[in-house]
Amino acid sequence: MKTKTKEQSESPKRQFCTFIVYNRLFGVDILNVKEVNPQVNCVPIYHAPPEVKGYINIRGQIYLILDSLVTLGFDPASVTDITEHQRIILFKSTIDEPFGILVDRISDVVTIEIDKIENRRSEAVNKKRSPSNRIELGSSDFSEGIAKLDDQLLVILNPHALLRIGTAALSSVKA
Amino acid sequence: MMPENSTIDDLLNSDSEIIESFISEAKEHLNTIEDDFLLLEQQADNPEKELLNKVFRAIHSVKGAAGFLGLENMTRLSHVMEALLTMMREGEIRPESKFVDALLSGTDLLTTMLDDVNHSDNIDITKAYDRLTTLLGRQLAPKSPDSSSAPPPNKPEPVFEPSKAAENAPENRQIESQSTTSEKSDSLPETAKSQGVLGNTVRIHVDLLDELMTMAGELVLARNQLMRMIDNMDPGVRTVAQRLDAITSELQETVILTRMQPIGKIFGKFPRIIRDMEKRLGKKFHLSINGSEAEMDKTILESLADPMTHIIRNCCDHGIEQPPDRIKAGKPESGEIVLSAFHESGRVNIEVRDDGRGINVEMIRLKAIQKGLKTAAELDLMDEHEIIRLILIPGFTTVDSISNVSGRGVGMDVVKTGIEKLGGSLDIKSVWGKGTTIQLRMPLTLAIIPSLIVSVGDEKYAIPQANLVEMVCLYDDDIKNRIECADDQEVFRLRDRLLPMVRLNEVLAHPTPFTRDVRAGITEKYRQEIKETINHEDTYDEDNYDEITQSLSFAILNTSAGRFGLIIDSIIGAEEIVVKPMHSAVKSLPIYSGATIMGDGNVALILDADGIASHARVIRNGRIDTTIPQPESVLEKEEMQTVLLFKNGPYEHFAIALPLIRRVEPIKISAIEQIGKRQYITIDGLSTLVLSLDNVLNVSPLTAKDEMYLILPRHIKRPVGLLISELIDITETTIELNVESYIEDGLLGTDIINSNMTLFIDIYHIVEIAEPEWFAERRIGLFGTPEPPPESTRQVLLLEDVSFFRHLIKGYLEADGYQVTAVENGQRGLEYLGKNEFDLIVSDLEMPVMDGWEFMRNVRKGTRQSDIPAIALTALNTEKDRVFTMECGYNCYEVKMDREQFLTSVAKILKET
Repeated sequence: MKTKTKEQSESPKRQFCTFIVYNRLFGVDILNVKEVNPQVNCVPIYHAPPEVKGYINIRGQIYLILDSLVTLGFDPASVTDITEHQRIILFKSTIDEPFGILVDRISDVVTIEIDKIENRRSEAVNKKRSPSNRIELGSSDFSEGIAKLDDQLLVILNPHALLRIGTAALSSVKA
Repeated sequence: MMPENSTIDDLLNSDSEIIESFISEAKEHLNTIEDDFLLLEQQADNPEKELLNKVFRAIHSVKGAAGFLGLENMTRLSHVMEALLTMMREGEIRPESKFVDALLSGTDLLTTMLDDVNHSDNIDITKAYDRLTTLLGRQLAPKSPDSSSAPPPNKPEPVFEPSKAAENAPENRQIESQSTTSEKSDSLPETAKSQGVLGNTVRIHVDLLDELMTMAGELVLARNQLMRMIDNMDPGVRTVAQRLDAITSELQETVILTRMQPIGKIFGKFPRIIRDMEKRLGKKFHLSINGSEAEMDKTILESLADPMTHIIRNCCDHGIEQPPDRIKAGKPESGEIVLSAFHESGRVNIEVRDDGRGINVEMIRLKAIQKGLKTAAELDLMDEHEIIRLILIPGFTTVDSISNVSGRGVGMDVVKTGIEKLGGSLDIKSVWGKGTTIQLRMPLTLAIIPSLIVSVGDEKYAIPQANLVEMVCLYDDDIKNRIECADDQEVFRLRDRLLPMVRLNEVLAHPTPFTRDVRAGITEKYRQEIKETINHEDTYDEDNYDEITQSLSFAILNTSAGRFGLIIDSIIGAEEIVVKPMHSAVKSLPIYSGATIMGDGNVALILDADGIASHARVIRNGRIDTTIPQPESVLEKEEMQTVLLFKNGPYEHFAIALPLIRRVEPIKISAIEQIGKRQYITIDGLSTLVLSLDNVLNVSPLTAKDEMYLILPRHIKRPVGLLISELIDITETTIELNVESYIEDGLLGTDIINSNMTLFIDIYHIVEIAEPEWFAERRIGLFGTPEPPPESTRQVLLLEDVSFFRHLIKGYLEADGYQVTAVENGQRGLEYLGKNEFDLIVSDLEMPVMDGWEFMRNVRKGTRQSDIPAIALTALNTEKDRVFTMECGYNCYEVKMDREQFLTSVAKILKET
C-alpha cells in the first residue's frame, strides 16, 4: 500500500500499524506500538473476563494480552485455530501498564493524511476537527476513526480504550 | 558545608539538592536526640556532659542550617531550644521533666516543619516557642545579670519579652548569625569527627536502590532461565554460566543488603511513646530493648512502625496494671516491657513481652459467645491458646470502655492484617496474671520470596512459602478413606484438625465465588469419581497390586482466618521468585497476589491463599472452621459397620458383621449328609460341618427349604458353615449393641435395624458351643485344662475405636479368663496405662486422636511399663504395615479377626513374660 507516499506533505499524516481480525482491517497509531511479536502462547488468567487472553513474558517484562477477537465484539467461537500468522502487538509503556493485543494476522504500515480520517461519531456534528481532540472522541468506544483505503476500510483503534473495555468487563463480572 | 561565596537566594533557587541534604541531615539529628533527651531526663541529677554536648550540637547545627536557608520558624524555635540547652550545659538548670517535655515538643515541631520545609514558616510555633521562652525566663530572670560566660550577650532578649515572641523575628536572625559564628569553633571538631565516620558511606536515593533491586530481580530471572538451558551445552559455556550464577546470587544478596536497615530505627521511637503513656495513664513502665541491630528491608521496616506502635500502646494501656494493683499482685511498681528482635532462619522475629495482667481467657470466652462468634460447644473444643487468638478476629475487643490510647475496638485484628500484608505472621501468648507475649515473624525482604511451584492442568502457579504449612500426598485407598465429606464440603482429617479441602482446578474453573450448589456439585462429582476408580481397581487391579495407581497432592495453606487444603495436580518444586504486581486491569481478581517469571521463561501466577479461601467460601464467621465436629457424629462415622442380615426361622432377624464372613454359599438342602448327630456338606472339596442356629440358641427352628445358604466364617481352621434360610440384605449401620433387653450365650447383643430387632450372633462362640472340643485343644495346650485357669487372671488393656470390635474382642478375651479394660484410642490408652498395672496391651492401629503406632512409640519411650508386651490387632495386612508396626515396638502382629490365632498369641506372649 505505497499509494499514499507520493503525496506532498502539505496535510499532516499519521502512520498506522494495521492488522486483520476476523477478516477485517484495523489499525493503531504506530507511535503507540512498541513491537510486534510472534510469540503468542499466553498463560491464561482464570477468572479474568474473556477479553483477557493472558500473560506473556517478553524479555523479562510481563504483558497483559487482550484477545482482539473478543474485545472487538466478534464471536470467539467462530475462529479458534491458532495460526502461524497470529501475532501480538505490544504497546508502548506510555500508553498504560504493559499490555498488548493478539491479532489474527499483521498487515502493512499505512500512512494516511489526517484529513482522510473520518470520525465515525462526530462527523455529522462537526466537520472540522482539530487533531488534538480526536483522541478523546471515541472514549467510550475503542474506535478512534475510520479511513478509506484503496480497496477497504481501516478502522483505527485506540489502545487505551481497548484496555478499558477489558477492565470494564472485569468489573461487571465482579458485580 | 555550604560554599561561602554563594548567597542564600542563589542556593534556594539554584540548588534544591542542598535543601534536600539539609532536610535529611536535620532529620537524622532530630531522630537521635529524642533518645538523648530521655536519657538526660533519667540522669537528671548528674547529666552526662558528653550527652548534653551532643544534643546541643545537634540543635545547633539545625539552627545554623535553617538560618542559612532563611527558614525563620525553624531558626527561632531551635534558637530557644539551644538557649535552654546552653543553660543545661552550664549547669544552671537540670534536665528535669518539664524542660525535657518542652524540648521534646520543640523537637516534634521541628520534625513536622522539616517534612514540608517550603511551608514551614506558615506553621504556628507560638505555643512551643512560648513554652520554651517561659521556661527560659523563669530560670534565667533572677540569674541573668550575673550569668557571665556562655550565652551570647543578646540571648536573653526574647526572654525579657516572652509575649512579644512573634515579633522578635529580626532580632532572632541576628542572634542566630552571631551565635553561629561564636560557636563555630565548638562545632568544628564535631563535624570533623563525624566526617571521619561518614567517610565510607554515600547517600543514595531510595528510588535508585529500588531500581537496582528490580534489576537484580530481573538478573535472577535471566540467570534461572539460563541455568535451565545450559544442561546440553559445551563445558566451556557451562563454566561461565556457573560463574554467572554464583555472581548473580551474590549480587542479589548484596543489593538486598543495601536496603537493610536496623530495626532500632523503629524501636528508637518507643522510649518516647512509653514516656508519653506514663504521663497519660499514670502508670510506670520500664522498657528494655534487645537486638536493635537486627536488620530488615526498609519497606517492611517502615510499614512495621504503625503495627508495632499499636502493640506497644496496647501493652501499656491494657497489659500493664495500675501501680497499686501491681504492688498488690506482688510485682514491682513499674511494668516491665521487653522488646526484642533477632534473626532466625531467614526471618526476623520480634517479640513484645510485658509482665502485666495477661489475657483473661474466661473473658474472651464470654465475649465470643456474647458476640456470637463461637458457641460454647465450639469453645470447649478449643485450647487456651486458640481462645486467646480469638482477639485477632475483626471487631473483637475485650475492653468495654474505649480509651483514648488504644483507640476504638479496631484492635489486634488491624495489627494482624497489617503484619500479614507484609508477609509476616503474628502470634499471641498469655498467662493470666503473669503477662502477655506478642510474637511477630517478618520476612527480611519482600521483593524476592521463596515459593512452591505447583501445577494444575497445563499451568503453573506459585504459592508463597509464607502461606505454606505442609504438603500432603495420599495414595490409592487413602484418597477414598481420608477425604471425607462434611455437609457439602470435602474435608481432610489432619491430626487434630478437620481441614476443608479446596480443589484449585475447580476454583479456577468458576469465576464467581462458590455458592452452596456449586460446592455441593463439586463435592459430589469427586465423590463419584473416587468411587468409580475404586470399583475399577477391584475389577482390574488384582494383578499389579503393588503399583500406585492414584495419588492426590495438596498443600495445607495458612490464611489469616485459618488453614485449608488446596488440592493441586502436582508439585513442581521450590523456586525463589520475583513478585510482580498484577496488571491493574486484572488486579481486582482476589485469587492472585501477583505474577512472576519462572526459570523456564513462562509466566506463573502467584496464588493468594486468603483470596482462594474466600472464593471457595470455606471461611465462616471470619474463620475457617477446623475443629472436629461433635464427638457423637465422629463416633457415628467410625462405627458404621457393614452387616449381613438374614433369617433362620420364620421370626428372628439375625446379623453378622461382614468382616467375619468368608463367603456365603447357596446350597441345596438335599446335598447335606447326615453323619451321626452331625450334618456335613461338601464345599470346595472339603467336608464342611453344618451348624444350625436353633441347635445352639433358643430361637425358632430353621425354615426348611430346598434352596438354602451356608455362611462360611473367616479364620476358623476347621471347615464349618452356618445354615440359614433366607438372606435379607447387606446394610451399613451404626451398631449400638444392646445387651440388656435380650442376651443369650452365643449372642453379642441386639440392635434395631430397619425397625426390626436384630440379634447379632457371635459366630465363633456358636461354633464353640457346638464343638467345644475344637477349642478345648487350644486351652489344654496352653493352660493345661479346657477351662481357663482362675489363677492366671491377667490384666489386658484393649485399644479399639470401633465399638463393635471393642465389644467382640473384649468378649473373646474375657471368655479366656482375662480381665479387660477397653478404651477407644491411644490417648486414652496412655491415660489408663499411667494409672493402672497391665500385663498386656492389645491395640488396633488406625484410631482417631492417637493411632496405635504413635501410642506404642509413646509407651516404649517412657511410661511406667515401657516393656509391657503388646499385640497389634489390625485389618491392615501388608508386609510393609507389618514391618513398620513391629518397628514401632509391638511384639506381635495379628490380623483381624482370627479368634483362635489371636487368643493363642495372647496366651503365648503372656506365658513368655
